[in-house]
Amino acid sequence: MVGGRGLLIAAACWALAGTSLYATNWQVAAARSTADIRQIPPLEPPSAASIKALSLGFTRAAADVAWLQTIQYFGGGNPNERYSALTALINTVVKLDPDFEYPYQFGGIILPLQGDYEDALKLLDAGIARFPNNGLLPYYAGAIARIDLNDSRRAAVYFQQAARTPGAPAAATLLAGVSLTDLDDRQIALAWWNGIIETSSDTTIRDRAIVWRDHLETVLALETLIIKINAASGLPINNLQDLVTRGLLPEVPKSPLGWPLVLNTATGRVELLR
Amino acid sequence: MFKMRWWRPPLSLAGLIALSAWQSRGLLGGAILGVVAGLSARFFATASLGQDARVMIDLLLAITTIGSLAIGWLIATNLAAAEQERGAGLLLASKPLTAGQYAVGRWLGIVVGSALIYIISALVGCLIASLGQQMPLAELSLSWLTSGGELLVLAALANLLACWTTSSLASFLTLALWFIGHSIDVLVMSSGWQFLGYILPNLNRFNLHETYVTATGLPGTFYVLTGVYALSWSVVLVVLASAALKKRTW
Repeated sequence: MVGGRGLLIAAACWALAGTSLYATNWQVAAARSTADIRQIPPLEPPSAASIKALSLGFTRAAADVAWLQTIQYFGGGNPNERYSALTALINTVVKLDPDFEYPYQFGGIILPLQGDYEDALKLLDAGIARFPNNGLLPYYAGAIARIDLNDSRRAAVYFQQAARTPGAPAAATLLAGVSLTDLDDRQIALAWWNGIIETSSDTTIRDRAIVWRDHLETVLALETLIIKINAASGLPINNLQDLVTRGLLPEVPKSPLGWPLVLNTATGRVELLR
Repeated sequence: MFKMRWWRPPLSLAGLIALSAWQSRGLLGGAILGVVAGLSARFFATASLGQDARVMIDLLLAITTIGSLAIGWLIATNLAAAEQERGAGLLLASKPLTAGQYAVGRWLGIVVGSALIYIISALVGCLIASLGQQMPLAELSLSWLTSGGELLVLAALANLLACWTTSSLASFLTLALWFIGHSIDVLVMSSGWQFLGYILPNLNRFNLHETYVTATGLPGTFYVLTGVYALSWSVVLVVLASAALKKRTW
């Protein structure tokens, strides 16, 4: 076989190999130029229960590995512009090691950036239950509720919780008040601001609380006046300028916060024009 | 009188080696390899650039390919080496084989033994890795078969190397050449020495990432040509092994 015929076969096969390689290279280049890179749905990591079973008791070590996977996944960039496996990965880490504090904070900051608000809040709720003395967790949760979900009631609860926790940002106190101010029950908000003014030793926070308290008192006074006038006369007040036109006020009052005030005729509430 | 066909002794030898793979619990080894590959792929797949499934497929099939080849090769060469150490072995003593027959038979044996293990490990690995996931299995299978061509070439390479050294060292050398073979594109195809990429075994053609992910819409002839490439190189290497065996003193 290895005689002249064998060498001839080998030479022919060698040439055939080079030719077929050239042809397949050409085919790949052609396919790449016309087709998009395949979009494959990202994978979910294995369940925490299965990893726990496979870790043979080294659950925290498995959590560490899962955490490294998480930050590598997040740090690696994402061509699809969304880290869809991130929630599952962080949840896996904290399920494997619930005492690992940082993933709660990490998820609380990162997940809302890609629109996973409820996932972030669930994670933060678990973190708050595990670490009741970490004021950052309810603070982040309050920010998500207020900024992303526009849910002042939920935000107020979180911010109030943060304000009671040592180590939380000082702004938690003010933000709780702001969230309460936006709620229907403004008497609670007023009580919150007065509480801050009476107890806060930080002059910046106290001064800011005074401004918010004054704003709220102005708003409440205007709303009370409008309710009275509407009840007494058949001609309802349609905007704050009407109060001036009818000689009830010398001018439309401004909010101590610096923004103009407007009347929302649909709700009957006086609001900031922001 | 019964006339022995040329291809019968090599097939007998191949069957013996394949049987040895079975008797050595090679298939169990393949299944365990598949479990390791599948779990590794699932666990580590989320780590790179968000291209989770791509990495998973690459990793999974690369592990099953090289792992099953390593197991199959060790089993096959241990048997072949044992025969050599006994002084040409029972096979050669009872029915003299030509160097060509021996080279072909051993290569086929390695291929069959490795392929059995590869099939088992890839099936188990794919099953574990794809549980609950959406993967186009038809295309995945094609990529998997493409990777099987690599197994043919590597088996032929290991077969050739074993003509000069021990089976274990030949396995390690094959592994080293496997890495180099995958780097051919990087080493020469982007330089002024592109022709070397066409005259050396370029294992990057079996790159699963390329066939499965980045080059969608490849025609069927691509897979045929890849198979031709694998077979052609296998023949070249088997002929070289045959030549080396012929010069060897038994």
